[in-house]
Amino acid sequence: MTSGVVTAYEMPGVTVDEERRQVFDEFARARMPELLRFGHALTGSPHAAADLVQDALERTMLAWARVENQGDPEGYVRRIMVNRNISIWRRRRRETLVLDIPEDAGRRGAAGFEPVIRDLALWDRIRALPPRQRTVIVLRYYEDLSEAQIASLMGSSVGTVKSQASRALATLRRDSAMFAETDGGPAPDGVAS
Amino acid sequence: MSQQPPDEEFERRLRDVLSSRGLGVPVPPDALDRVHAGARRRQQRRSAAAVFAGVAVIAVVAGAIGLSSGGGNGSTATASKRTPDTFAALSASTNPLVSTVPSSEAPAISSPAVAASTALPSPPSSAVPSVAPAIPTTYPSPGSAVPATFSPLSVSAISTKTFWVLGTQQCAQLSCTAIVQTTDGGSHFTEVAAPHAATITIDNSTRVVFGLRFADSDNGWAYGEALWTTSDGGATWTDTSLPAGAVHDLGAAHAPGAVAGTVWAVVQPSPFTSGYELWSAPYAPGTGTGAWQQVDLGSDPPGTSVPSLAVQGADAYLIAADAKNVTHLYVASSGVATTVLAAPCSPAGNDLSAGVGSLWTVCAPNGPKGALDAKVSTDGGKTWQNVVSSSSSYIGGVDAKTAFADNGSGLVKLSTSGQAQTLTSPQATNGFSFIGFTDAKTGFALSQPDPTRLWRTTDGGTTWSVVGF
Repeated sequence: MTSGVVTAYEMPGVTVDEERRQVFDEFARARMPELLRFGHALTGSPHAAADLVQDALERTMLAWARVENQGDPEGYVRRIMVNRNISIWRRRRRETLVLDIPEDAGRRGAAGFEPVIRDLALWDRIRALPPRQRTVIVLRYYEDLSEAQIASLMGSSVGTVKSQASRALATLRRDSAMFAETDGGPAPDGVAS
Repeated sequence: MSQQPPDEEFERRLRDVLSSRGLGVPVPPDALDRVHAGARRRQQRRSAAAVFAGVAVIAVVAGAIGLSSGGGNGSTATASKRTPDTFAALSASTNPLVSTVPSSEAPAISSPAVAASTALPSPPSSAVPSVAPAIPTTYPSPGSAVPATFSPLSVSAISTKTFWVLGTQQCAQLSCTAIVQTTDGGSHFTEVAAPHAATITIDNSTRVVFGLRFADSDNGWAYGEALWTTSDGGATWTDTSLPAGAVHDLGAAHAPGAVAGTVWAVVQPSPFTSGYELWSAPYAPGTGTGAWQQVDLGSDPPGTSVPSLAVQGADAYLIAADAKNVTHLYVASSGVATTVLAAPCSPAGNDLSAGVGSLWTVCAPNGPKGALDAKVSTDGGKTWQNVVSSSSSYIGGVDAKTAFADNGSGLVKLSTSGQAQTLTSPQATNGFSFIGFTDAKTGFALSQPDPTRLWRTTDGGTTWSVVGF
């Protein structure tokens, strides 16, 4: 091991920090669409999703040296998003009981959004769930995580996850059935009306 | 509330709606610029806060304690090195939320965002060895009972019977940080205080802690995005301002029979500055931790990789690659200039462990499927002997002849006689994050989640049992 060996790390005019930043930028650019989608599912709102993703990417950028070494930057961003989403909501809850003004992006196809949520009644009920319950549902059915994984991710017990999931599912099934009857909502197979 | 299990049909509906194209959100054209700007603002805020805190602290600095550490090679503090993130590495999976960090490629990384809130750009001068008491924090309130939900993250022993465990417990918000202590080998635990810090990244205001070390019944350190010090066995914790930055690893040791020793910390001063620093401070029972000073690591200090630290007697050993990606073994001694030796292998592995009269390490794989060699040194890192090749990443040295290594699902007993014996117990789905021995008989192995379990042996690793809390 002689020191002074010239390696690829020595690139004239380019500091390691700039290289890191470029790698971060590439990562952020490539993964932003999927992160926003995940954020939309977690928050129920495209605007909240954008805020959540920005917040998580800022934190990730500051910790990038470590995150990159760790080898799973996307998992890192998503974990921040899950936990931030819950904690943001906990802070705001005292101010207002309703997180968002209902947004009809999926229904009406607001500028830039494709109106392709077919099972709107069910999506509306998912959005109306309390954030922790919604998070459990999204992690279970969007991320395909096990109850134990969700518990670990959210810092709660498996029992808590189970009870939140069953409460959420009960609400969703009851309410979406009701919607289907009163609102001319979708058939149970999820095909759009 | 309905306890009825969800039917497949409804679950399919849920999956369908959550995978709808309509959940797509257009990426704002200036999204990346906003991320850059936001990150800059955060860093400036943190730097300003850190500088302010530093100034305030210097104004009230108490007299520095000058203590010389004892010689010899006794090492009493067995502690966690790499603590698993509470929610990462749940299982091997293609899902980005749960993908396990390949441990052989993750040198000394423990917890995400450790560096996120600790930026202090100005390099600390060796002329300001000031450490000062800040406000002691107690969080959560210590009590006698250890909660049933306690989950271990880091362990530190000062004797075969007395050890502390940093972990999380369920609480009203997310998980809460807790530290418990036993003086009877784990039969009974008592909760002591813990630093006001989280074990997962929650928000700006709470820093992450992931490691714990005790040197004696008084002096201990908790580390992560900051460094917290106790001089009363964990009853109170003080947030120290120096060294500034994220503390990736920490070790404390003193000579056999001595009471005073040296604590060593591997510090990353800023998340955006390449390079890692080694800091040290004296400690002694009754007088606490003395002034921290940066250790001069020579002209090629650790640059590109997070250093692995092992401490023994008055010496600290650090394996790391410098800014040119050349791997070195830095041998620092209290009050003596640092020696820089050739590393036992390059690239270095992610673990360095001190056993009785020995240093052990595992080399990183050379190439994608390269073999991992364990190596042992009995002359303070000058020469190294190859031990049986194994697929291990974490290693715990017992003595000059024996070590235990993680093979990803269990423990392998490595012997300089050439044997590599896979143990039937303990088993861990996701391997281990720490293996370490207090003496030749007593040792710990901490499994990665899920579940996180602390295993302990008192017969040199022949049998292991789970520590119950």
